[in-house]
Amino acid sequence: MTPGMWTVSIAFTLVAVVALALNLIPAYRTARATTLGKSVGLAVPAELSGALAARLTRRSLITWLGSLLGLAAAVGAVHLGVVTSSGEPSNASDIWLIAGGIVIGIAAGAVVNALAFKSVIPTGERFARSGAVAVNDYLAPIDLVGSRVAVIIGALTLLAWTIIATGPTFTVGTITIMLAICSLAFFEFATRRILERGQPVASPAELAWDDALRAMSMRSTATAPMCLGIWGTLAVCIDLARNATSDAAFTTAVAAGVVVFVAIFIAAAVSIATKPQQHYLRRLWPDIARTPKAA
Amino acid sequence: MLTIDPKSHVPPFEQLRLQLREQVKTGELAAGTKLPTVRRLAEDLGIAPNTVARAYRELEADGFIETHGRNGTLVSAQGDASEQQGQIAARAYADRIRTLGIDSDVALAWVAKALVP
Repeated sequence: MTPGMWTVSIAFTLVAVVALALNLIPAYRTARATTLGKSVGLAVPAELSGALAARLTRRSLITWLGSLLGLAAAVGAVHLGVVTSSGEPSNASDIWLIAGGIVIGIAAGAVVNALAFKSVIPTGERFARSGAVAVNDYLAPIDLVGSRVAVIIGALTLLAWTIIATGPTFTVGTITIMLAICSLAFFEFATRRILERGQPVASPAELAWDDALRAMSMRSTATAPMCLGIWGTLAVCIDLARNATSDAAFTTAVAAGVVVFVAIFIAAAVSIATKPQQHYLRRLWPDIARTPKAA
Repeated sequence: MLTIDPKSHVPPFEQLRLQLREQVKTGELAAGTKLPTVRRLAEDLGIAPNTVARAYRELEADGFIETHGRNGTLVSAQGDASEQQGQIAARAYADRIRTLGIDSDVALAWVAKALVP
């Protein structure tokens, strides 16, 4: 690993440690619930604030720890030479794998947190939704379809590399795409498991918040295949351009990389404009969606 | 939304049956709407799966819901044949509008305009 990659890894570790330490401050825990409420379009009722702060703290601890474990695994793989970069300057593309380890760790942490949460059956009145829910009630098309499309594009790029490249089969780029395929399979499995879990609640507001947290967990899980698919595609496109044996091959590889890059910006713009973090609200709580923070 | 009050003198299966029946009759649960699985609804409401299964059975016997094997339990269309077809078309329209992310007030205005002869 280059000194630059060590710097990135150490900087992320410090950020994670600070984020974990912030959970010890009660005022921060309360403020986070309020800030999150604004993001997901829900108010924080007084009777829920304590339980909500505790759930968010637990989620924060597990996802940050997951990200650190993912980072450690990626750094270990790169440092021990399990994976190798292709072309010169070597090791520059290690960043894809390191960032990939972090997003996989966050996704795994979010799923562990969602599945391990033991909900308590209220002693008084209980509420439930009359209709069944599906994954697309929680994930906007930009997340649900985007993650699958990113992995399909990555798989096609991997196929192109396998057929035409003269470099090694296992590079940071190809391994990132393989991880994207695995994380998509994990995403498909995990989102359904999260969906199957019951939601015993004592009020509609509690159910709305539980939906919001479910949507967050599913979005964290969708981020891994999406990011890894895009990063892997870009990394392999760069490797294809470096190893190109003709001008036409070089131009094709560069053009493919530019197309992916432009697609990322378009997807980011659509994501910001459509607020996918409030998709669940529009689908499951249309009345609240029309008058945000009224829950 | 369904509510179960464990302290009520009305048995939980009856509370559930009455609420679901009312929601189907008022159109709050439109024809074709998929209901939660027995196990899932029992878990949500903190009651025994048999209680939910009994409520579903009775609603099915009364023609309010229908079971489609692996496709789950769906709300039946109510009224005569033409009303039933209308309800199914409305459900399909509502699903499409939700998929497209269009505001329901806008969608309702389009329907109102389209219904004007």
